[in-house]
Amino acid sequence: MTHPVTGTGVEVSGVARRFGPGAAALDGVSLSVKPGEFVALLGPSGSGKTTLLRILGGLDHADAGTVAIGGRDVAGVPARERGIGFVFQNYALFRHMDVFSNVAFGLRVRKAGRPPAEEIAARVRRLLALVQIPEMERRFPDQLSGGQRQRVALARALAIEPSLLLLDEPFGALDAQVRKELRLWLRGLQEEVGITTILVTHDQDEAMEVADRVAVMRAGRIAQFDTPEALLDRPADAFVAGFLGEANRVTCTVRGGVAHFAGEVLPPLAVQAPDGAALAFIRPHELFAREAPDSGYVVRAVRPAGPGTRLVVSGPAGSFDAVPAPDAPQPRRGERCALEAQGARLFPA
Amino acid sequence: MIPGPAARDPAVARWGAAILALLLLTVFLALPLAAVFTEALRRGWGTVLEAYSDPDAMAAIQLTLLVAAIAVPVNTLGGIAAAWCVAKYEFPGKRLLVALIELPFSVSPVISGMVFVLIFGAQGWLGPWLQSRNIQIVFALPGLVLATVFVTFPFVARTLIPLMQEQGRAEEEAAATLGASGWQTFRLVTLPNIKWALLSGVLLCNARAMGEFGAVSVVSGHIRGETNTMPLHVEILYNEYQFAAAFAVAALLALLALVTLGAKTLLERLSGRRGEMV
Repeated sequence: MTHPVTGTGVEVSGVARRFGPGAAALDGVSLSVKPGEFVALLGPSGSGKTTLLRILGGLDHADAGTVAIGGRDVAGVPARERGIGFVFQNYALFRHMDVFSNVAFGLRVRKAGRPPAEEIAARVRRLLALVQIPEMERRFPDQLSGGQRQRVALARALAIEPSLLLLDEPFGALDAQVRKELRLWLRGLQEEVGITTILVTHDQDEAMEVADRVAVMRAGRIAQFDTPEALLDRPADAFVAGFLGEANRVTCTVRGGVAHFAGEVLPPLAVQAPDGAALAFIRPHELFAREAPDSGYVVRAVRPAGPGTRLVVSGPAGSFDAVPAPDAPQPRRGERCALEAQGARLFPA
Repeated sequence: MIPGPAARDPAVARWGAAILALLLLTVFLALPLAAVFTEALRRGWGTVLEAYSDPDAMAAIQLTLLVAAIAVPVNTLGGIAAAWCVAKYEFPGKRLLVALIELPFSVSPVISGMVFVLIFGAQGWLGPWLQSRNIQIVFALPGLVLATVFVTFPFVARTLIPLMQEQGRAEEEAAATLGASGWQTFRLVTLPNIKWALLSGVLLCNARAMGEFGAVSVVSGHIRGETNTMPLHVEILYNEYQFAAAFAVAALLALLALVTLGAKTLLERLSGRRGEMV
């Protein structure tokens, strides 16, 4: 697009939604998205992320709470008047229209201010060039690959020059290679166009890679809304710590600033936490393994991971993901070794 | 797809099934149909044309076409509306609605006709009210149309519901987010997606509307030249031993059905082709 679209901010406050009896799909969600920001809603299935996205897009309504887009309360504003770009999980391309007509749809249905046909054609071609499939104009959706459909869906959503772009699991149906490529491309495109973007995903790598900030959702609530670094370094609760990244979970008791692990599975660790029972999350890179012939732990697997090595170590207390201690020879498969935690995040149990 | 040897049935079974199916088709479908046409033409084209030019026959043909011309559009609109509700929305009582849509298929047409007599007839619930206003429903065109609409209602709805359910609501939602109004969404997105199934349902509905006997027979009153449709006229002629005329009218009715069926088959072949979907 030749002229960058200015994104709008989104203010969600206290939004609740319930489908029938049982647990609420959304249970008091508040979220503030800055103009031009790229936000990911991340959570397991059933956490309410898609419901929140549909409420933003006007495809569903909130039972309580308010949603303001660009400073305007959108309660009662139907989807067709919101001017929000929405990319659906399975793209929802119009199957009986070719790519050109799909992208042109949003311009052609305008009652007031419909651009003349030549301008529509010019804009569609610009968009198809932007999403890098200029030669696909006359193809039908069932003649496209998954990645190409994804690009058409995006071009179609961008055609109405939305100030907010909503993406529902946009890469869910693609294979791993295409998915990685497309999400980096999407991030670049978003920066180029400057549009506020909210993406729903259950894939943490995807969320961490593309988003400025990630809202981790659980059971209809936002557990934590922060930058990817902060989520990994300072998880707000046990759910976030366990959901993001890999971690060994060990129950422990804190006494006087020292965590004593249940069953003494690991040596005590100095921590900053109040006294009492707690659950410790120890990332693999914080758990050092070194050779110890009389230990109860045995190295079960050794796997190169980037510059280092990852170990799977098991003993009577279960299995741990660990790394070799940097100051000692690397334990080999089948060898006995001792484990020592270097750090942990503790949450009251 | 050619099944592997393990999936292939023995030749005896395959040929046996094919021959049995052909035999049944010949005995129960092809032979009777051929008999109708040969009987009709046995005394030559003259008799046939004479049977058609009889004023009562002409009236019956016109009435049949008129009833179909009213009932089929009504059921097309009603069927689309019903299928739309069932396929695209969740609401309490949806199962009941689906059951109701299928009701005309499971109820004997005679009962369907009697229901209308019970409601609108001279002795019926609304009879006195209608009589005092000089409105004639039973034994007149409105009754015939009502009975036909009732009996043929499921055709369009039943053809559309599975297709629309399979297609889901995503394309309509996409159209809404792109700024399309409800009518634009229906015209530009929903209708093109269902048009072939819709045409097929409409044709079946039409075939049945022209051929309906039971329900129409009850509400018609058999007034010659006025409330006799083609199927009823055939019966009257047959009962009066005017076999040649009866078969001539029957042949015309059968021909209409065959043309409808041919059109439906053609549509299905066309819709299977990519280029024709545009």
